[in-house]
Amino acid sequence: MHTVRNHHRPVLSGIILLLIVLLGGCSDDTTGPDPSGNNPADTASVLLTFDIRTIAGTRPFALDSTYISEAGVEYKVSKFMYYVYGITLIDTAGNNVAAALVDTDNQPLKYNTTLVDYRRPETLTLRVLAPRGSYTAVHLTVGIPQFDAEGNMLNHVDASTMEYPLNVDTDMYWGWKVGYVFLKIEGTAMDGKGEPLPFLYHVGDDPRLMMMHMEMPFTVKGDGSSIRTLEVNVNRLFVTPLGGNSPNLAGVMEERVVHGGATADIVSANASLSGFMTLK
Amino acid sequence: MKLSWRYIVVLAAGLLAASCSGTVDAPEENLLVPIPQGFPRLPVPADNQLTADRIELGRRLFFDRRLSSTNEVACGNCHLQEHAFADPLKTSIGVHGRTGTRNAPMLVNMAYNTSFFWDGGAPTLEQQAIAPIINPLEMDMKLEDVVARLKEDPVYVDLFKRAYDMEPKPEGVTKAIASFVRTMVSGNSRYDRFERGDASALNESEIRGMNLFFGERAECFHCHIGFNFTNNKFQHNGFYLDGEDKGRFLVTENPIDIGSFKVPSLRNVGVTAPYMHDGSLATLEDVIDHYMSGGKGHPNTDPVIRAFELTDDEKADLVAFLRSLTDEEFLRNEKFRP
Repeated sequence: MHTVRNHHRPVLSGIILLLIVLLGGCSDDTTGPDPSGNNPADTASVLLTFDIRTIAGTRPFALDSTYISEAGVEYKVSKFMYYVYGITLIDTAGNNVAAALVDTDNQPLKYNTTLVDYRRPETLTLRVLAPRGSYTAVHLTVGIPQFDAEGNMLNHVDASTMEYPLNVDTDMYWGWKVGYVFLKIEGTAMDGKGEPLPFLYHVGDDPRLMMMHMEMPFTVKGDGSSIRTLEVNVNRLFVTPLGGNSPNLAGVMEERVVHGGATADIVSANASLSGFMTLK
Repeated sequence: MKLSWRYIVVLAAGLLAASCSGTVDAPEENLLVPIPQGFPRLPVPADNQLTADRIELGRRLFFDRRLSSTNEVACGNCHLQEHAFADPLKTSIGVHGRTGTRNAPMLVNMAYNTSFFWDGGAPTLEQQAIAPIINPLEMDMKLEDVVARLKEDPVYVDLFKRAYDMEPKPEGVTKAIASFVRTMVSGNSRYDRFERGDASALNESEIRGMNLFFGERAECFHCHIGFNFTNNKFQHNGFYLDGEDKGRFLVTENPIDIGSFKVPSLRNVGVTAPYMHDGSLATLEDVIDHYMSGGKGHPNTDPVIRAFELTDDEKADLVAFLRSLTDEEFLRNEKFRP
């Protein structure tokens, strides 16, 4: 009896192995890819790329080129930079799905933050890792929050201890009140007499974090080839959520040279609510 | 219990040192920084404990002009020991002869401060150390460029290794400078000796001035209070009326803070002229005149600021008392030299 059982053991093992393979195959068949693109069994993240396409009104934007604001003011931008932090995708069930910012080797970016600098074209592409599937919206923050998702201090941290892009030398750090400039745009605007007036808007401080919520159905394909366009309209920084024109690029000094205060509040609100960023 | 002879010798030496120098029994970091009697324990951040190497690295950096873009300006250019590390200029001169916008504050008992700059824009000494280096009006330097210069100097490479177990890095620069500044403790003026029981340390004029200082007529003590002669708050002392530098408001953006500035310590105030955030008052007599006037009338002026009268003799007494707050030993201490 004992001998007989030993004799049959390889056969039984083979049957069990076959069943496992078959069951595995059946499992694949039953769960299969969701027609919507969502696959609960597949949580592996793939690459999703956002190309930043920047315009001023309807024209493609470039530093040092001349544009007309929606208030009819002629202006040029010499410097334009902003932080992007913490991209979240909203799936078709309404769930927030974190999409980690990554570098060109798909390695997570430090602090889940990137610095968009129009002097450096390579910064105009955002890369994230996200589960494949269907989504309805993208949420991101322009600026640096007080704390990251793990509760580590960010905006008011000792910047000398931080690495790029939150190091001191990015031209986006306020040494005099300890914190980061979230968005910086500098240039000149023509006054009514055709004289150039300098403007600079340095928007920072915790209450001025700019939350971008952009709705648009899209799919993240499993092969990592998905590319979406993030359209940035510089003119909308100077249009209020109610459609007014503020701040005036060619206005009084207090309206053109801004490190805080009510005008910085306006620019922050404009960025968040006036269609500064849209998903295409 | 049997005490070892070594313990007894150390204990006796400690007691002797305390009785001679006015220091108190000290925790570990205070072996590096003698704490004056009556002062609280030296606050030191957990991630930047004091060591002799860190202090030495900070001392070298503090006096090193390579921290500026032109190799001309060091921290020590504007913070002069004979002036309690204040600047006798109204506003300091940075690279290319550029002038700052505020009077350089003295560096005394900074370890006890709860915020830094006239408007409190920096919460720690480490973070404070960044601003003068990168400010275009002061040293106008990137931290990465500072570090590149330091990496070329084997003395610094060795010191960074010993102090922070790292190659020269921005973090080590700011932490070391903060460590050095943290050791600048001053509390051995004639007034301190008077308070410790030496009745001859102050003369009669100074004692009369002290009574005015702590009295309800001049009321200086309402803001300049405690062992460090400051409440560490931001108050409108009636000096600001209008102008671009709105003080604490620049940090908080709260209109009630327009014109408020940090209440400075008055230790060594006799050698830190000129006065006020903009250095626009040349003498202590000018300062007293301002307070006697009751201020310029800005609505944010603190209620404690109101006009009062002093005779010329009383004014002289008050100035004499303020000058008794000078700690000559601190001004000559070789530990704070290049």
